[in-house]
Amino acid sequence: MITELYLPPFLYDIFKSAVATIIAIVFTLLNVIIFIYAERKVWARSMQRMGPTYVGKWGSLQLIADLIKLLSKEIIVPSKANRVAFLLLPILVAIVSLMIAIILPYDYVVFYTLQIFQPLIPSVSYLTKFVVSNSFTAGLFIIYVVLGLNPVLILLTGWVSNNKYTVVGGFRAAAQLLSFEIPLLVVIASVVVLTNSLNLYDIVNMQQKVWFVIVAPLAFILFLITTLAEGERTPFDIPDAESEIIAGWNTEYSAAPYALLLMGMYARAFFSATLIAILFFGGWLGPTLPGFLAPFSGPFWLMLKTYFFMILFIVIRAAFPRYRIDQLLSLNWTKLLPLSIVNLILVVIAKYIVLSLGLIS
Amino acid sequence: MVNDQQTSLESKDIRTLTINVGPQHPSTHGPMDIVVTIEGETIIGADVKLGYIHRGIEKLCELRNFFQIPVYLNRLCYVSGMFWEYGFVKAVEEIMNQKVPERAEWLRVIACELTRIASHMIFFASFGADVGNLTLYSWGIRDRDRIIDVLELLSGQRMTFGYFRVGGVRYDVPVGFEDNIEKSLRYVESHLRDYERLTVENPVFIARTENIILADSSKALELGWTGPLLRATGLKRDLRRDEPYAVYDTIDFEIPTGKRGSVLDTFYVRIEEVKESIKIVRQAIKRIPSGPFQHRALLYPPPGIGYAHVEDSRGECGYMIVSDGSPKPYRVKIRSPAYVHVMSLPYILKGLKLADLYAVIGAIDPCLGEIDR
Amino acid sequence: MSRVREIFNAVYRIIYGSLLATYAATKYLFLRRPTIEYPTQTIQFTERYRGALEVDDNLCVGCGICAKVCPNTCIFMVPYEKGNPAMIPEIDLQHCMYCGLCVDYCPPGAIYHTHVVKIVGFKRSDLYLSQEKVTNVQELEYK
Ligand code: SF4
Ligand code: SF4
Repeated sequence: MITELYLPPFLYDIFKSAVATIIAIVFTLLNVIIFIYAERKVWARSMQRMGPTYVGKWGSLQLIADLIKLLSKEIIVPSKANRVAFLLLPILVAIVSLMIAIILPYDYVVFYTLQIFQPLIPSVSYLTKFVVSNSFTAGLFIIYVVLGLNPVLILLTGWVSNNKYTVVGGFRAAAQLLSFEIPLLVVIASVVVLTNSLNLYDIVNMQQKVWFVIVAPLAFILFLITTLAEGERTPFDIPDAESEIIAGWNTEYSAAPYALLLMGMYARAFFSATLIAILFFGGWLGPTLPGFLAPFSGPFWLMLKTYFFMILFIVIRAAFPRYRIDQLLSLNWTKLLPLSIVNLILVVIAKYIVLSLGLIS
Repeated sequence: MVNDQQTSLESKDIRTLTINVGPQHPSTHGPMDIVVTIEGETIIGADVKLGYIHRGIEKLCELRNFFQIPVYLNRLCYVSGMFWEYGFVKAVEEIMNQKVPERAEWLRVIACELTRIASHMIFFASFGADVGNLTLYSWGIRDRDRIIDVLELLSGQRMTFGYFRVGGVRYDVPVGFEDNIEKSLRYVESHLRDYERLTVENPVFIARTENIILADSSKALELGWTGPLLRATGLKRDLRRDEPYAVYDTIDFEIPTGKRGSVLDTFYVRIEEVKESIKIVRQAIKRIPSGPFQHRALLYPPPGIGYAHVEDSRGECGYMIVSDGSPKPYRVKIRSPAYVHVMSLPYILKGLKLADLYAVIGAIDPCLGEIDR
Repeated sequence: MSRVREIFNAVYRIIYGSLLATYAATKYLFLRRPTIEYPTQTIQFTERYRGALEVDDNLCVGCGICAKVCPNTCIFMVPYEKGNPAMIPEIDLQHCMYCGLCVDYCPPGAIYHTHVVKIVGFKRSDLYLSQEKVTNVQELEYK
């Protein structure tokens, strides 16, 4: 359908990327809403509360109402804050967070889900050509780099608000995120040792016979812990410990900028869930669904696994209190880092075993 | 005076930062101001400022007749009102040499132990919120509500009970009370295991609370601590056992103690105390004799001085009452355990981390109503 | 050797404890919740619940004891327009703390608690139970 537009190749590429990007971002935003709604509902259930019930059936439209409320409120800038930076930083945080959405296979999920309409509208199959996320040969590396931008932005966000709590929160966040990036890198490296590739599609395809969680269980546990810390989720939500430093680095934010920051945080958590599914649980691999749903099976399994880890994040939030900042850092430097190096060695051994068993090629 | 010190610290030494925790802060459990000076994340000084909800209850007591006072005193601590009524009533009875019927003593025990459970549930709840686990908060409130339901059945009010009166209690047990109490106790009991799973067995919780030592036992005695905080340091001090009042000397119960006086120990002690309280209530329900539940008492006592203390859920709550023979007390002095605990915060906090502050406040479980009076 | 066992024990406790905590939180996802949706479902009050006060003018003898015992002095004796009894209590609910002392001390039991708790007013005078209101609190509609 679109190829029949006869665009010159480079324009066609740009067009393709733009469509995929927009689709991925919209998909992420949708999932952020689902995530927040799920968090409120599941957490409420494990606390034996009701969660939102008023707006819509089971309170399903509560998030929309909240969003409208946040967007329609007045944007308050503290008088001591640097006005330009104060307003610019949330946008940057949101952009940086959403950049990861393009690398993760969300466009794949959307376009292949649409394939179930193929019997009705045959031209839908052209859409599969629009998937761009499989072309990132160094996808994992880009994700890591983009995650690495976050501490700087968060530190700045706390700094420009010019408030004691935000400064403390910003420093805590920066210390936490920076130090957890090192074990994260080593764990990611251990996956790359297994696959010899940084492309997410290659990584998934290597797991046809055996999921990496079986090959490298320690790597999975370490990755879970480090992504929890990177996403600032409980038990590592020290930067925004509400009982200690109000809301940490985003204390002064309200209205639309706050919505952006919140979106960035939940988007990062959602990406971590997807990454765990892809790196360790075989991504979209799974039994093919019956009947006309067959093209949907890939997206189905990927999203099922993603949502499972989303729920796991929420349950972990319900079950654990938060660490103390110095304990967190010592946990990182004295336990996680040595363990991740041990894990790297274990993975090298495991790779020889699975190679000799012919489980990965 | 203290203020000057703080500002000079702030202005001279740029490495330190002064943070006002309170008066409006989610972790102070009420309007209380703690001015902490931190260097990095380490606390180097703390100062407690109180009096934000001073309602002048001691003065109010001097302006009321004796029989009108107990209904005010449950406002002292809005989570353990029964004890505060009990302390006053007991002091007045001491001046009068008033005998209390045995059934009333048992009813008092039931009311107090139920309140203790409810109060400890609030402790779990607020402590959970302090260390960042809101699930505990919700669970604590849930279980407290079940106990409060029973107390409402007994006394007619959910927080401000007004159940005690000189010479007995106000109401007898209502119909179906035993079944109701047993159901509620089972409900609470079935959740206690999960509290343990979420707290004293949870590695993150242990890491968070294990190494915050509040005080050793000799220091705790010196600071005047009582109640669960003192027992957490390893001392077996409990008024119910040491100076038995009501019918506690005939009841079989343990006094749980901690080992080192850490925050984890205070938590452990309180969980065990809830179990013991459940045990006591069960025994009381079984052994409560029939008979009158109140004796006719004088409206006001003869001249004299009376002191009475009872084991509150936070420690030892005491009343000193001076009566000059008129219908109104000459003076009422209230000894609040939480006040003593809170005022030792500067000692406890020195050298701890900022994040520990909230765990410490949570462990102390201050109730600003009784602190500010 | 004991050191190894110590480390092993510690690791075991950490893993087991984490799993237990997660299990405890997950368990409640499937249990019935004790909460109710308040405005649509109503709360049951117990029999003794001390709500707003009401006076039965058939029983009241106008003795004024309730006004004397009230610790907050929020009961005022006024001449009753219907004539019998001669005096009737009016209650200022703003100051009432629902302690129930007036109920305890009323000789004929003419004043009693109802289960009315939704007491809202736009003006202070809305919360003042004048003699018309105080005799039929249960029919009052607070909006
Ligand atoms: S309500 Fe009772 S106490 Fe009050 S005036 Fe009437 S009879 Fe007397
Ligand atoms: S309930 Fe108490 S405060 Fe209210 S009117 Fe009666 S005596 Fe006064």
